[in-house]
Amino acid sequence: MASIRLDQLTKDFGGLLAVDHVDVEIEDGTFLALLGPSGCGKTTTMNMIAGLETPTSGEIYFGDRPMSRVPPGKRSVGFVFQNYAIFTHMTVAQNLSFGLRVRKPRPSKTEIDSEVKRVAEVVGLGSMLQRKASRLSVNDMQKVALGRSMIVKPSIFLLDEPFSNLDAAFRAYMRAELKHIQHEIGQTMVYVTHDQVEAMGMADQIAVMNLGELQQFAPPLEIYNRPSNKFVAGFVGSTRINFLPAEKVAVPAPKGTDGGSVTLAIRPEYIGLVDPGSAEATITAKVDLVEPLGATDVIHLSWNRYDIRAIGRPGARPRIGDNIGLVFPFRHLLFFDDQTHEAVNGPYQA
Amino acid sequence: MEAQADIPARQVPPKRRLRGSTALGGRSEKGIAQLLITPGQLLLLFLVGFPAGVAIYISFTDYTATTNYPWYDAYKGWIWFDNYWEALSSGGFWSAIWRTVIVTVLAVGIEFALGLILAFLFLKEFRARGIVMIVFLLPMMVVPAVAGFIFYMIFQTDGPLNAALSFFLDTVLGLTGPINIGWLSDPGIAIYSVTMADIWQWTPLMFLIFLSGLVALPEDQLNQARILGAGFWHQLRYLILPMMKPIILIALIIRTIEVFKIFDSAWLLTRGGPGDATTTISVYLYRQINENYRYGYASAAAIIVLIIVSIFAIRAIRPIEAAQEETFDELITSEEFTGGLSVEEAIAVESRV
Amino acid sequence: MEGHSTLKAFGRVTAIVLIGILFLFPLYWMITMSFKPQSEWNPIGKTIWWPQNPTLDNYKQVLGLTNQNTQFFQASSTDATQPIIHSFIAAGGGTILALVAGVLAAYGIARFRAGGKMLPFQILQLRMFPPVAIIIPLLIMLAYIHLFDTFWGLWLVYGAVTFAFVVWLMRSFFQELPREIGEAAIVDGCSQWGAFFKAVLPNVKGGLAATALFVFILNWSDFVIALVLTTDKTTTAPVFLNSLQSAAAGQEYGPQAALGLILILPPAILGLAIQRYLVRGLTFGAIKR
Repeated sequence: MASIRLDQLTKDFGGLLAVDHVDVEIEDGTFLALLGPSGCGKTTTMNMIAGLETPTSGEIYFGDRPMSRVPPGKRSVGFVFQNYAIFTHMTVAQNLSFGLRVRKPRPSKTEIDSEVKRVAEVVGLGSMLQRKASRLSVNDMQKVALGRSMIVKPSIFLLDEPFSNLDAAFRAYMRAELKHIQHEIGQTMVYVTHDQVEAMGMADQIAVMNLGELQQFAPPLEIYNRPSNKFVAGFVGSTRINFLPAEKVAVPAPKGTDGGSVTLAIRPEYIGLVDPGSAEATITAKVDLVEPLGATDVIHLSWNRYDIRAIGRPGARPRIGDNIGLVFPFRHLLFFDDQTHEAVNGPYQA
Repeated sequence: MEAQADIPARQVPPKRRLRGSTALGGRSEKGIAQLLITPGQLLLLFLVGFPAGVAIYISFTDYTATTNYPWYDAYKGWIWFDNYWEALSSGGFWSAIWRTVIVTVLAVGIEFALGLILAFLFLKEFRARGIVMIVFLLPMMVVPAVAGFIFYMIFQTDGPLNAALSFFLDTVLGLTGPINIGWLSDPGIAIYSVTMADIWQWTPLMFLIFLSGLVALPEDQLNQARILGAGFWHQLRYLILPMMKPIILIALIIRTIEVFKIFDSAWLLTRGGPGDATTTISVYLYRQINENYRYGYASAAAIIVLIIVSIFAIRAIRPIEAAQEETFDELITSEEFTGGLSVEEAIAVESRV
Repeated sequence: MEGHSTLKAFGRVTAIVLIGILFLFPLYWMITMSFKPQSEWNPIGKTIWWPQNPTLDNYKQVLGLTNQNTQFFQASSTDATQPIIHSFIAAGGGTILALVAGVLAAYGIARFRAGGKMLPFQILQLRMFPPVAIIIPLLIMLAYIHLFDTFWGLWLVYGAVTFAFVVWLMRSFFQELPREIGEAAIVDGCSQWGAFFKAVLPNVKGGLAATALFVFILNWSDFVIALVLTTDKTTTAPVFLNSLQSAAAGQEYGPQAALGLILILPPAILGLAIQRYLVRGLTFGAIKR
């Protein structure tokens, strides 16, 4: 188990700046989610941590040890690829035991066998040890990938969107399992995903990246309630946050840099719904569409050519064309400078 | 067909269409098929099948180039299996076979190793790789007869090879005196000279085959192996070679078949000499025709060779077949095909339909 | 770590250069020999690495361009223009024959499973027999029907011998083509033949060209068949080269080298053109890059 520190980590592919001076410090035993859209640099960062790519500049530390000259095999890292990369010509047992078989000195056959059995039990492959790996279902391949990396007891575990190929039910199951195992062992894990629901649900810390740059590094709740810039605010949240120009809405708003304008943001679930004429309403908007999701509805409204989403309850479902009063509680308002897109403190933030 | 409508589309593997079947019709297809292969069949019949029959016929006679009746009357000199006994007990015949085996094993083995090494050397991209690779492919494109001639010049006792060796070993290192190896004139060495010529010419083929195999290897699996601690030799032993097995087998089999028939370079280098030293089986047969004019005997000997080669062929066909099937095997177990189920599950689903 | 990889790179370059020299040297030797005057061919006790008095005489001799007043015997004995032309004719005709029979058969096998499952492998087995083995009866037969030392004789034999390659190569190309292409043409009203010529064939043009060139190279390079089945009238270039070697005139390295170079030029050029398909051809279509 080890802590990881990325120090101004940069990777330039001669024209494409994939990772741009990323600074992150991950404590031992943390579950870190690397979150961001495709192409944001998260996979490249992982590859550098694993040793498959060398940084253009900057350094990676495991504990106190700089790692950029250490070859992948000697870093004690486990890495589960998105497509698993199972050794298809081997059996399940041979896949699992691979990390031990290539070790110097090579452990005895009994040691290897008992380790393989142990890991197979943990991931749930006990009955399939002799099956050829190419004949497995996708779910089982996933387990092999995990077990194969686990058996060598790495200090750090990297996973690159490991569950994206699984069906929904199994994905939810594996997420819970993984989190459980990680918590039990206290394994430092870095988990790449573009699914912010996954990140929010599993991570102790989230590092949000976009276009190679680190946007914010904080625990999930802070990312959600106090996004450091407009990108993070818009990226995180199952129903997307609402952005409106602050000056058009009757709320107290701060000023931006050099007295410039700011954008106001409020999450759909914080918007209160009242009668159109009510005094509490901050603005009045018209309903365009109602999406029933089961326990809640997503209500799409338009106001002055701006689209707004709010969350409603099925019991009080409005109809299309209705006017509704929207209440923006001041304490849930977020503000972002229009020039820098950074968060600006509003007058009411705690 | 109707029952499939009940099953959600994802769970049923797409129907595999048998090769040779088509939605558009039945019996005329067999007719067309036959029509299409008729020209080829005729060609083979007249130029391979019929000659084979003639060869068998003649092998039972004492027919030679000087026999004064035409070949179809060869029965007049019927001698049953005398030719066969003679060949089978002939020292000349068996040593020719033995020499051919030595050349084949040596040539294929060294071509394999060298080709593999070259493939690894060229695996990683470097700037002039395309152009440099052409240099390495050139020997393969040289007409074998010309290759024989080139090495005839080079292997001369007073030729450039000995001159170069003398330069390094004598002049530069002072280890030995001037080198005067009789590459072609020394009966003990000549056969290896023939082997060397073949290695020069055909290593590029192995190189090409192995390079295309290496390039196609799944990089992800190799990366994963690296991360798990596997160095180059581990990767080679557990991943690279097993994954390349079909390609390696095909390359070995094909080269073995071709080397066994070696004639052109052997003939131009030494004409089978000195004496018998480089008389491979093809040279032996040719000499029987061209120097002894013993068509009957040569036919018998040739038929024995055909039998030997056929035995090898039958045992060798299987890996080639298997290699082709393996691609089919991988296809039907691949994920897209089974929709995420394992093969057993998919078959179970389909059999319920 | 970085020092380690520079060492590896250096080792790689060295190995490639050394092996490259080994591969190139024989060709280098022949090329330089072709430009050497007689005095430099094989002087006693010396080896001439680079022609000191380069000359085109060898080429002139080989191409019959010499206007030196040499002996009648010697002039005619190194003029290779006829054999070279014969090589073209023989290889060309054989290639066409193999192509016609082979493309049809390959289509039949790939599309209609003609000949059953074993046919492809039976054709492969043919390839395994030493040509010298069937040369004997062929010699007898061709002589009997007066096709000995004729182009038709050569065309038939070359065609039969390279037929297998055409079948294997074209079969793999036809297999890569989706069957819908032919079927669509039939639905549009073509007959099977029409579908073949108008829809399927144009789509394998590249493979067809590569196969044709590949087979031409094979036929061009043939030695033993021509050796046995021809004498003066249809001698091909490799056989002529061989005869120069045993000529009583001694070791005429120069003209032989010139002829050798001329001989290998067509396959070299064609081979480079079909580089992509070489592996497929030489492994009977089993390995496709």
